[in-house]
This record gives sequence, C-alpha cells and structure tokens, in this order.
Amino acid sequence: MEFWIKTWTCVLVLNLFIFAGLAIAVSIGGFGDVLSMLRSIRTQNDGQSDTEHED
Amino acid sequence: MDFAAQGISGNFSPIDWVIVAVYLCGTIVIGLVANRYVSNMADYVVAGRALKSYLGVATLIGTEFGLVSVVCGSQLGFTGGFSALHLGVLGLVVTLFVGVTGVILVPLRRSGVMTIPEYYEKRFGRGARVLGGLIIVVAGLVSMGFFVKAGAVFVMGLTGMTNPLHLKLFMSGMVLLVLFYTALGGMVSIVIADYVQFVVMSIGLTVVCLLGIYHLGWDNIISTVSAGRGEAGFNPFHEQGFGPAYVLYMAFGAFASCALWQTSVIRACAAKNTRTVKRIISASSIGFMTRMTIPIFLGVCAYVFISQHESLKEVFLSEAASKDPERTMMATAVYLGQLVPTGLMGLVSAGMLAAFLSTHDSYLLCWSAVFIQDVIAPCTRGGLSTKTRLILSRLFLLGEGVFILVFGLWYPLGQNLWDFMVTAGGVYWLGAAPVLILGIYWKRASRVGAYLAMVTGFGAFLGFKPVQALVGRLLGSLAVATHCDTLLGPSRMETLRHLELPTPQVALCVAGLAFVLMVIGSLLFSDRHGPPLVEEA
Repeated sequence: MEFWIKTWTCVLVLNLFIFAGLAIAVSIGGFGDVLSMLRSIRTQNDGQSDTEHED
Repeated sequence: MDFAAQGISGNFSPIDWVIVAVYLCGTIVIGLVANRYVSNMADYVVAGRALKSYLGVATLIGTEFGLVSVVCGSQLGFTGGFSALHLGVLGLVVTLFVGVTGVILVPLRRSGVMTIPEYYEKRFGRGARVLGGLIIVVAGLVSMGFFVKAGAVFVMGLTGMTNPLHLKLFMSGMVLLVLFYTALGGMVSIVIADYVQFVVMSIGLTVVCLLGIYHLGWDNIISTVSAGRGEAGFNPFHEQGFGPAYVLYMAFGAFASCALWQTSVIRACAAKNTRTVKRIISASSIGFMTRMTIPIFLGVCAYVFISQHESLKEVFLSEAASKDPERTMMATAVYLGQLVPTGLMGLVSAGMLAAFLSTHDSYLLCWSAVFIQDVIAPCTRGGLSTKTRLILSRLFLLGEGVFILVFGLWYPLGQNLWDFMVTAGGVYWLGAAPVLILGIYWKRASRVGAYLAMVTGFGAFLGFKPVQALVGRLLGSLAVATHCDTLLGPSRMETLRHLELPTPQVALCVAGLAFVLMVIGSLLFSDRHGPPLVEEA
C-alpha cells in the first residue's frame, strides 16, 4: 500500500504544478489567439464577400 | 433533500449569486458578439478553421473538463478513494500517445473532413456515413442524458437551493442560455466561452484543492481513507475496488475520448494544420489527466470531511446512502458548500456553471452538426443550402435541449455516473474503434466489415444496469414459456431473473467482437474502394 500512497502523492503534486503552469500559459496565450481567430474569420468573410461582388 | 432539517448549512451568500449572475450575463454578450462573425457553415461548425494552439488547448480542456467530469470524478473519489486516480494517469498517458503519434487524428485532419461520418463516406460509402452519423447522435445524446440532472444535483449541494421548482427553473434557464449562445455564434462563441471557462475554473479548482489540503491535513486524508477503504482505497487493481478489467476498459475509454470521440475530433479538424493537431492533443493530455485527478481528489477530501462529521456521515455514508448514486454525486458539492468561504464560493460556482455550459455547448453543437451534415444532408436530393443547414441545425439543437431536460427525470441511473457515460458513449466508440483504426491503416477493410462493427457497438447497452434488469426479466419469462425453468432449477432461474453483468467485461467483449466482425466481414466481402486514408495523405 505504501507504494500506491507515494505514487498518488507524486501524481497529485506534479499534476497540480503542471496544471497551474498550463493554466497561466493558456490564459495569456489564449487571449491573443481569440483576437487572432476573430481577425482571421473577418478577413476570410471579407474576402468571400469581395469575390461575390466581383462575380 | 432538506439540508436545513438535517442541520447542514452552507456558505453560499447573495454576494456569490451576484458573481454568478455577472458571469452568466457575460456569456450572453459572447453569443451576441460571436454571431457577427458567423456567415457560413465552416464558421459555425469549425470556427473558420482558425483555431491556434493555446485556444485549441483551452477549448478542448474546457469541453472535456465540464461540471459533469467534476461530478463523475468526485463521485469516483468519494466511493473509490485514491485508487480512482488511475483514470487521470490513463488520461495523461493515452492522450500523450495520441498527440505525439498523431494516430487517427492526423490522417483525419489531412483528409479535410469535419466529422467522423464524413470519413466513413470517403472510405466506405454514403450508407456508412448515414448509419455512423445516426449511431454517433444516439450514443452522444444518451451519454448526455444525465448532464442536467448531475448539474442540478451539484448546484443543489453547492448552493443549498432545495426548492425543486426553483432548481428546475434555474437548470432550464441554464440550458436555454447554452442553446441561445450556441445557436447564435456556433463554434466561434463556444471557443470564446470555453476559454473564459478554462481561466475561471482552473483558478477556482486549484485554490479549492489547496484549501482542502490546508483544512483537512494530508496525513489525516491518507489515514482516514486507509481506515475506511483499506487497500482498495489506494490500489486500483484490488478486487474489492475497481479491478484489472475496469482499468483495461478505462484505458480503452481514454483512447476513445481523445482520438475517437467526435468533440475531440472536431477540434483536430478545426486546427490550422496537422502540426497544430499534434500540439493541441499533446498539450491537452494535461487537461485529460486533470479533469479526473482534481475532481477525484475533491471527492476523497469530501469523504474525509464527511466521515468526520456525524450529521453528514449519516446522510452520505450510511449503508443505503452509499448505494444511492444521486446521494454520492452530491457529497462533494455539500463538502465544498461547507468549506469554501463567501466570495471564493461565487468564483468556484461561476467556474462550475461555466463548466456546465461549456460541455453542453460543444456537445449540443457537435451532435446537431453531425445529424444535419451526415444524416439529413446525404439523404436529401440536391443537397441543402447553407441557410437551410443553419436553420435545421438550430432546430435540432432545440430538440436536443428538450431531450436532455427530460431524460434525466425518468431514467433510473443505477450505477456511477462515469460508468453510465462511458458505456453510453461505448455504443458509438466500441464499434467506431475498429472502423477508424482498420479503415485508416488496413487496406482490405471493407464496407460490410464496417457495418458489422458499427452495429455491434449497440451491445454496449447491455452494460446498463436497468437494461440488464429488463433483459433478465425477459429471459426469465422466455425460460418459463419454453418450459426451460425446470431444467435450469430455481437458483439459476433466480440468477437469470436478476441478471447482473459486470459493465467492464461486457464492454471489452463488445469491443473484441466488433474488431473480429470487422476483420471477418472485410475478408469475406471485400470492396473496390481506394487505399487507406493514411496512404492518400
């Protein structure tokens, strides 16, 4: 049982640290990605409507 | 359940309601803003394929780490102890394997499909697409059947809201909110809402975990679980706990949830390129682990807290209570309601409700997209215009909302919520696993083999306890009608009438059978389709 107690302790501690790190990275990086996604969709849609007008 | 009558009072206050209300209003704004960006089906279903790595990770974790995962995980931790953490480790290892190798997902992204049934059509013809689409929708909707009920049980425990009418109105309002912003903004609003949920929930849950360790003490947690659950509380292979068959079944389930489940596949298909697919899935492995480990740990903390409070012990740990899935689902919420201070409670609740919304939005959109694109559209002559597809998709969303509101009210759960959900999903993925794996990597895989494997997946229904009870009664009546009862004897007839099959073994048998039938069907009935998708790529 000692083996499992040590294993689960390590799993939990590592998981909490890694998840906290990932959360910080994704929170910061994700904000930029949201803006970039909206820009990209707007550009695609503008391109489409321009093509439709030309047709 | 009347908590006040049981002498149980929580920390939820009007300040917390204000925090929750602000968050919910913000969600409406997201739907309105996103609607301005949706002009075609690609924007609506895969956000114009403009998803980058960070946002991909946030939205995948946001979807898969929902309130339902919190309820399921905490229930497993409460009833199974630390040994339930094997689910988190499996989530990490299996998802990392899929992310690093790109198995299944990279070929699917390269093929340019949006849904799995689209791939079925490319490989096995239109009929396979329609059948596969129907199975995905059925399995997906049934697996979602308890989402609202689980959410309601958790909200009840967390907020202490015990008036059934208020609770029903509140949960219906939440479903309407999801339908509103999903119907308006499609995938664009979903990814933004998922991102916000990821931020709020990751902060809230990390703080709550640390608070649990601080209040209960690590040594106290270990010794209480050890005293109450014995070795089965730590060793997942222990026969009195989960057992080896369950662990194997969950390893297969972990593979399905990141490589075969449509909500994961749709994100891979929405990624900018195949490199991004691998990056998103690899990074999400942390999320697939955390979505189980943190809730399981909270469930363990709830067990420790409740077993040390006599009034709560009677309500949640008595012989009858520990066999009632609804009661064990609520235990962690009640524990959080007692532990988390006002203010932080509002943040945690907003995170939980956000998690409730973010899972619903993606799942509802996913099944409606599959139903319209893969079941309705291929059956109509001349195809459907974008406008018609969007209208039909929104109408189907409404139908889904009604279904999930009603299903949880009449179906008796009878088992752990996690086992119910994995088994319901199994109707799809136990059959889809051979179809996708062999379809992509085995040249001789044929249409007949695919049909046989897909239909075999329905065998997963035998894993449900109420279905087993029904089958047992039918077999018992059949035995009496055919006079076999005298041959079987009273004790065997009793076993037959009260049929109880272990869910993991049933699922593993179905999985094996689906693979065998796919191979046999393909060898006996080959067809002249193109090479496997991986070679095309």
